[in-house]
Amino acid sequence: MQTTRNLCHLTRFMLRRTVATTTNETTGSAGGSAGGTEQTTHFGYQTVKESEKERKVHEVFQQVAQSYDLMNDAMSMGIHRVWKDIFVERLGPEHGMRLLDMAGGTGDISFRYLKYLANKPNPKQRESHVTVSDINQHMLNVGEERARQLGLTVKQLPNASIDWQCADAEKLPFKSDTYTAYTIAFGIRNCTHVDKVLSEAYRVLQPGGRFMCLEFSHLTNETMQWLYDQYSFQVIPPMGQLLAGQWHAYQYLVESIRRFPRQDQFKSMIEQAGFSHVSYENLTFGVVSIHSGFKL
Amino acid sequence: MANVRCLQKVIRLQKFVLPINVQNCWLAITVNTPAAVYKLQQRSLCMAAYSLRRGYASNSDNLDEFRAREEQRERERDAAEKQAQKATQGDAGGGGGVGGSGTSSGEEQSAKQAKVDGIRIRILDAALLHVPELGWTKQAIVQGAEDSGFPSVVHGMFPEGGFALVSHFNGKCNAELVQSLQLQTDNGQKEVGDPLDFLVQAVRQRLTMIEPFKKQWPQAMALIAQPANASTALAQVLTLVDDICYYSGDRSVDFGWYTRRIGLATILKMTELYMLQDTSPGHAQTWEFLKNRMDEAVQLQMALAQTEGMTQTFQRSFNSAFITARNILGLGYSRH
Repeated sequence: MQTTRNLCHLTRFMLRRTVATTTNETTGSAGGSAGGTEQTTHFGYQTVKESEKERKVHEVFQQVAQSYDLMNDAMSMGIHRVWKDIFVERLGPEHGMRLLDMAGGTGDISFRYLKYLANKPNPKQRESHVTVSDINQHMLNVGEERARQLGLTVKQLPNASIDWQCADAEKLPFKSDTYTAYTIAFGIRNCTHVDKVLSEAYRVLQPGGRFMCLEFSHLTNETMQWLYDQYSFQVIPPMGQLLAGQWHAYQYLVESIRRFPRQDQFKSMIEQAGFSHVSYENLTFGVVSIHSGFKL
Repeated sequence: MANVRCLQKVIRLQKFVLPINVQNCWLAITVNTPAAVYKLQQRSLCMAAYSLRRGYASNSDNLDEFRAREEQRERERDAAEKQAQKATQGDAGGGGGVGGSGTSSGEEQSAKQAKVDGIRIRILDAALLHVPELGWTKQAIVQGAEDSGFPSVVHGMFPEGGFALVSHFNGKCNAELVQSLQLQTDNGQKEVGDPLDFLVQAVRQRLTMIEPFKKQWPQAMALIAQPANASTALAQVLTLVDDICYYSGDRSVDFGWYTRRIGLATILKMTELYMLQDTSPGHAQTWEFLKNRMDEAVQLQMALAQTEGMTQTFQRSFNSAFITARNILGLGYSRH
C-alpha cells in the first residue's frame, strides 16, 4: 500500500518536474534575451543567469541540509567517509595549523581535522584553529548541532578552537595571510565563479599555505564513466526523492558534477590563481579527485 | 636470353656498389654461365667486406677516435636540441600559449619550477639539522620548514615523508664526492696511479660522510629498503658507483664494465652495514673490512674473466639496470 502510494507520488512528481524544468528553461531563455548583457552560467544542465545561480544553489542546500549526511551515506554507500579520511590524511594536520574549511557546512572535514590533532601528541602545547565557513546558514546550524553531539565544542577541546562563520567563498570577510591551510570539500563546483574562489583562497592564505580541494571529477576509464553515469542519473535522483523528498536537488547535484572541469583543466586554473607545486590525486578511479597547491 | 639480362643487371649494380676492377669487368663480359655469375657475385661480396673492414678496423687507436667522434656528435646534438627548444619556447611565448592560459610561457614555467625546487632544497637542508634528534621523519621536515620561515603545512610538498630527506642527503653526498673526484683526476683526464686504491679511497670518503648521522642511519637504510622507495635508492647507488668507476679510469667497453660497477656497489653496501656496528676508534676495522672485500673482488673478477660464458642475455639485463637507473634520475649520459 505504502509502496504503491510512493510510486504514485513518484510518477506525479516526475510529470510535475518535467513540466517545471521546461518552464524554467523558457523563463531562463526569455530572461536571457531580455537582459541581453548579463552573463549566463550553468546550473546543472540548465543555463541560468549568474545572479540567479547563487539563489538556486542556496535553495538546493536549504532543502537538503537536514538529510545531507544521510543522503551522502546512501548515495556513495559510505565511501565518502573514506574519501574524507584520506583527504585529511593528505593534508597531514600539525599542531599550530590554522585551517579554513570552506563550504564546510555540516563539518565533516573539520571534525576529522580536530580528531587527528587530538590523537597527536602536542609537546609544545601549540594552539590550532579551524574556521568552518559556508554560504548557507542552515548547513552551519546542522554542523554546530553535530559538533555539540560529538563533544567538539570550544569548552571541551584542549589547544584547539573552532569557529562558525557564514561567508561567500567569492568574497571572504577574512583578512589576507591569516590561514595556513584552506580546504574545500565538495563545494567548489557549486560556486558561480571558480576563479574568484581560487584567488580569494590565495589571498587569505599565508605564504607557504596550502590549498586543498576534494571534488567529484571525471573518470579515467570510459566504460567506468558510462557505468557511473547510469548510476548517477538513474539511481540517485529517485533515491533523493525517496529518502529526502528532493528530486531536482539531487538531479542538480549529478549534473553539476558533469559540468565541472576535468582534473588537468582544474589544475591549470589553480596554477593561474598563483599557486605553485600543484598536483592532483584520483580516488576511486577518478570519481573524486584531490587537488593541492601551495602559495610559495 | 634470361641469363644475359640477369648478367647485365649485375654489371650495372656492381658499377654503383664497388670500385671498378678490370678483372671483374672482363669476367662479366666474357662469361655467360650461371656458375661464373655466381663466382662473380662471390668476388663482389668479398670486395665489399674488405672495404667495410678497412673503414672500421678495431684496434685501440681507432676506438679512442671513434669514442671522441661520438662524444663530439653528442655534444653537437645537445646544443642543437637546446637551440630548438629555445626557438619553440620563443614561439610559444610570442603566440600566447595554448588553451587560453596565455600568461605562462615555457620560460615562466621553468622559472617557477626552479623557485619551487629551491624552496624544497632549503627546507630539506634545514631539516637535516634536526635529524639527530627526530630521525628521518616527517617531524624533522616540519621542523626544517618552520626554521626556514614556512608554516608546518608545507610538509605536504614531500609526500614520501622521511625518505625525501634520505634521498636528498644521499644525493648531496654523492654530488660532493663526484666533485672531489673531479678535482683529484682533473675532470677524468688525469691517469690514476692505482685504480683499486682509488676505488677504496673513494668508498671510504663517501662512507665518512655518513658519520654525523650514524645513529639514525639504520632507520635510513630501512626507509631505503621499502619497495616504494627502492627504485630511487637503487638509481642513486648505481649512478654513484658508475661515477666512481669512471673517474678511476675505467674506459672499458667489455662485460667488465658491469661486473666492476655491480661489484663496487655490493662492496659499498656491505661496508656501510659493517660500519653501523663498528665501534673501533676512527672506524679502523671498517676500512680493513673494505680493503679485504676489495681484494676478494679482484680475485673473483680474475676468476670470472677466465670463464668465457657470460651470454648476451646477462649482458642485456645488466645494461638495462643502468639505463633505467639513469632514466629514473633524469640524468643523461653526458658528463659535462
